[in-house]
Amino acid sequence: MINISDLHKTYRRGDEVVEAIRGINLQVNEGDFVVVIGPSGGGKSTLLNLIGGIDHPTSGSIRYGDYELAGASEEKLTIFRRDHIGFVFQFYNLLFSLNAVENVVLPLMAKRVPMKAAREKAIKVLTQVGLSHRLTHRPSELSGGEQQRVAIARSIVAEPELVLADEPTGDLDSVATREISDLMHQLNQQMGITFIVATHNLLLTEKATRVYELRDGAIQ
Amino acid sequence: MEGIRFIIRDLQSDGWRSAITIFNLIIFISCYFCLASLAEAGYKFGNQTRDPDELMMISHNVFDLTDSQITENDFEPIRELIPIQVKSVSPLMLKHLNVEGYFLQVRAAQLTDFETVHNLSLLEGTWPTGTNEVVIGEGTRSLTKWNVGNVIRIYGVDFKITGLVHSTGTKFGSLWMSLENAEKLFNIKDQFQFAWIILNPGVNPDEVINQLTNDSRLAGKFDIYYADQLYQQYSSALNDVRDISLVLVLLALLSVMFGVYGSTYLTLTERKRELTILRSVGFTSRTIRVVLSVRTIIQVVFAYLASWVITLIAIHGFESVSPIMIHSIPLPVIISAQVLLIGAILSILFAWIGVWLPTRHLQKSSVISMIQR
Repeated sequence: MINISDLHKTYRRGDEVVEAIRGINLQVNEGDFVVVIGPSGGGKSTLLNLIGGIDHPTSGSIRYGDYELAGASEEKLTIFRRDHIGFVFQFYNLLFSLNAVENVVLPLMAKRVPMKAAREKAIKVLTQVGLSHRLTHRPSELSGGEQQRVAIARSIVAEPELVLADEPTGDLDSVATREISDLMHQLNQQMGITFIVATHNLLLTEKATRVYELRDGAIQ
Repeated sequence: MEGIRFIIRDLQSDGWRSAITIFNLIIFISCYFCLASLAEAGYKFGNQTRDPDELMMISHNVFDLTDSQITENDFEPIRELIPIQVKSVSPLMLKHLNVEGYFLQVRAAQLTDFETVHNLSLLEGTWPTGTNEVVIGEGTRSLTKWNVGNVIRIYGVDFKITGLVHSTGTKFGSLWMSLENAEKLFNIKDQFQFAWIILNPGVNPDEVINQLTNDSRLAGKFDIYYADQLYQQYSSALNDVRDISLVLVLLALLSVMFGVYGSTYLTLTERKRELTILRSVGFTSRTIRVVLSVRTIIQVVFAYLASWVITLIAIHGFESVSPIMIHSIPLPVIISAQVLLIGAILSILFAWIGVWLPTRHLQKSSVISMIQR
């Protein structure tokens, strides 16, 4: 599904050149639940950003099936993300002015799905993640765990093949962490969605199909 | 429609910024309405059709036209040109009077000349037949709000308004009475301000002007002009106002553009988080641009309609308290359909440019660069 070869990412911090990713080779198969662990600053988020087309590699290749992400234009990367990838972030990244359904509808709006069908789909997915009683609540009216469930619902509503989750439980207590972990595994097994999760939390590695440790920009 | 609902929700949630942006736009667009209406009024005032077949004779070198003095004897050289070059010559009396608190041009002519010589046409009511009757022009009515049937006091005498007339040029804002009435009212005889000359079709007016100017009985005592020359002189005074107004109109619309530019730039800077989220869930930079444009256009349309209503009320209030007058001729300032339409198109165009300029880099910037900016 995803083939990463000799991936490098360097950036400048003042006069210093930082090598965030150093020659990573990685293969992710369809239906995998991959967990990337490692210390802060080890390059986990950068790797996810590169796989998700949010950032551009300095060199190397990221092939998604036959499609090469490295070197693709911003517009093409956005469309690629829209059609194939869902994102879950540590701080949920929900729009405060919109309620749960409206936040979940956004990826479908980007795909120009008719609004009635989009709302129905959003409600269905929110019900699937256990939030049928919180459909019209705004983010400020939801707990951290509930907000992350909304974010997960948003990431899967457009039926992506891949979900990238960057520290999805980093802002949650242990109970919510367990719930979110179970939910992601459930979606992985029931819907066949591939997950790549970057985390500090070893709880998420329990049911992972593969675990990689990323340290100083390289897989150990 | 759902998309627009989302945008309106967003505008509501961003209430203060939306309100301040709309308030700014209202100020600029109201300036546009005022200035464009003024420029258009000036343009219409100075561009009425010229009639080269009409000439007028007044006393030589008078500054105030009411100081012009012509007697029946002075008409003689003109009458000698009838019927070859001149079709008719008629006396016209002109006074500037304060009538019921309004400073008006009062014109007096022979009743038979109202339609044939002075091209007045009756819009409402009847022509004056008896004594102490007058008709008023459209400009006078819009200024005074008098109606047919009203009785007004002129120079201490009551007159009844019997009709409303249409006319052009300086006559637009006049009040008309018969020569007999005027002579009785002002207690003068055989003393007029103008000799109104109608030429036969095809006659070269410059030749007639030349001929009369060189006539020893008139030379040095009277000047001959085109009948609408006076009007052209009045309107030329408006040219500067009109031109300055047009420049200010452009500046007002440019201010709309820069106002929108500023608010869009602030949105891009302060709402980077939301925009980044939209990009990460698959909204292309083009779609975001469209969203920002629609968001701005909703604000502009709202501000435009509000400005229209506010300016209508302001103009109406201003006109009723202190109407703009050019030599006693009211200058009707209205927001025409043309001003409304052109303003709408230009406001939306300039607003769109105001969105386009700060968002043009979005297409090339990566999501990570938006996060880091």
